[in-house]
Order: sequence, then C-alpha cells, then structure tokens
Amino acid sequence: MKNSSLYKGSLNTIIMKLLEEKGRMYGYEITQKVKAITLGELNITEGALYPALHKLEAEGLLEVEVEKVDNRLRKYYKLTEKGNKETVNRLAELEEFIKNMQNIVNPKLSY
Amino acid sequence: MKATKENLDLIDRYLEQRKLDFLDYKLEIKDHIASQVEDLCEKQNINFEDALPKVLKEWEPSLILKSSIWISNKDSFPAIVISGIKKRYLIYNSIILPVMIVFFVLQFIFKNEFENENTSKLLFIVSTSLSLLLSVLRYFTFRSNYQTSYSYEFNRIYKMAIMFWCFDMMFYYNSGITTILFKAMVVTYFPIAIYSFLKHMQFKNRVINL
Repeated sequence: MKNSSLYKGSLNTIIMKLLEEKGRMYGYEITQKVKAITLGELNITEGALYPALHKLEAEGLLEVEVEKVDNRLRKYYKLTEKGNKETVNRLAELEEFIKNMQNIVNPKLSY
Repeated sequence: MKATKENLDLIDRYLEQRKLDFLDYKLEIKDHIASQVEDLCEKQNINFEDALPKVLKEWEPSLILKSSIWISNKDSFPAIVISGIKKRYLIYNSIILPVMIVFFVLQFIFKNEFENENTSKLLFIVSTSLSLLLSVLRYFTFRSNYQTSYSYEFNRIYKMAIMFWCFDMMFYYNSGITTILFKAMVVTYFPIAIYSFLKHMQFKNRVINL
C-alpha cells in the first residue's frame, strides 16, 4: 500500500461497506476481499483489522456468529440493524469527503 | 490443502506461547493464520510446515507482548489484544466520565438531600446490592473454564467497583460522612460490568455448543 495513513480513517467504513454487500464475513476474508478489489494496493493488516472489528462490535454495529469450518471455529461478523443504518451515514460522509478532496486536489474537475 | 488437526495444534501451541489466552481472540487469529497458510501452500505449492513460519513472521508485530497502564499495570498481552481492549475502553470511558461528572456536580447542588439520612441509606442499599450482584456474577466467571477478553474486562471492572464500595465504607466508618461519589462509581461501573459479563457468557455459550 502506498500510503496507509490516508486509508486509516476509512477502515471502519470499508469494513461496514463490505459486510453490507456480502452479508457476513470472517477476518481473513475481509483482508483478501480488500486486497482483490484494490488490486493489492490496500493491504489491511491483522493488527488494524481485529481491533477495528471489536470496536464496531462494542458499539453495537456488528454482531458475531461462530461456526465450525474445516476442523476449526470461525468467527463471522455481520451488520446489526443499527450497523446497517450507520453504514448508510458513513458512506455518505465518505463520499462527501472524497468530493471535497477532489475539489481541492483537482479544482478543474469540479466545474 | 486444508489444515489438519495436527497443523492446527501447532498454531494453538504457538499462540499459547505468545500468551494469547482469550478465547474470542485466539479462535479467530488461529483461523486467520490457518487460512493464510492454506492459501500460501496453494500459491507456492509448498507444505504446511514450510508455509507456517513465513506466515508467523508476518504476525510477529501483532503478537509481541506489551503492557498498558489503561488495561493492567502488571499483566502483559499481545499487541493486537491491547489495541482491541483499549478501543473498547475508550467507548466505556466516554460513558463513565460524563456520568461521574454529573454525579459530582449533583452532590453539590443537592447537598442537603444527599445528607438526609433516608437518602444516604437508600444509596447505600443500592450500591451494596449492586456490589453483591457483581460478586455473584464474578463467581460464575471464576468457575468458567474459558477466559475471554470480556471476562477479563468484567473482572477488572468488578475489582474497581468493589474497591470504591470499600472506600465508601471506610470513609463512612472513619468520619461518619457518606459520600455520593464512591456510590456513584459503583452505580456507573455496574452496567459496563453487566455488558462485559453478558458478552462473555454469550460467546462462551456459542463456542460450547460447537
């Protein structure tokens, strides 16, 4: 990833957006999905991913399901009702942010 | 190539060496490492034993033992656990601090009401009942074979609540004055302790049934 600090503030929104699309996902699946979508440009480290998932769970935005898969237990995350509503808000905020950044970085495009 | 039971035991032992004892973290990190190794085996056409050290090297910074004054002044935990618990504590503190400030201000505004014997008695009964209830719940977490980050949190909050209850008792018996602040601390910590306890039990029950 070229500049991880630029993505840092959007990590929670990225996770929520993916969960909104896929329904439920487990940690490794999230990292691989992000890597695939961004063609390897964004690499979410496990050290950033799990604390973020646990914080979203503590805020009541995610809930957990545990299942036995391939001889081991797997923890799936999915959005709660509150999480679904919050995803819409956060995506709108992110879009607004991208639009503003676009205006600053490339003012000609905004006309 | 899917990880065998022996392969998974190898990951288990590594995580235990790294003092990753909380079940909620351990099972998902074990699954993550196993999935990562399985993918690497497929991509590089190597066996599990050769791929595992490569993956574990990537995990080293997240599993390095650290301590934090916010979590414990004597225990150390893997960095990934410290970071996760700290984030939850920030949420708890954003609830606890404003409530404590409100109680603190109320103590001065309603000074006469709080000094009233009946109000004091009522507050004493409430804080003592909550402390007793937390002690019962503490017994259940103590008996549980599973330790999660939530049970750790619960035990820590329980100790804080009991400490404030004892301060209140000591203060009352030494000076005859009853303070709202110590009781308020018990009352404020109570819902967070209950939340941690319920999350622990919920997770434990999910895992036990599998």
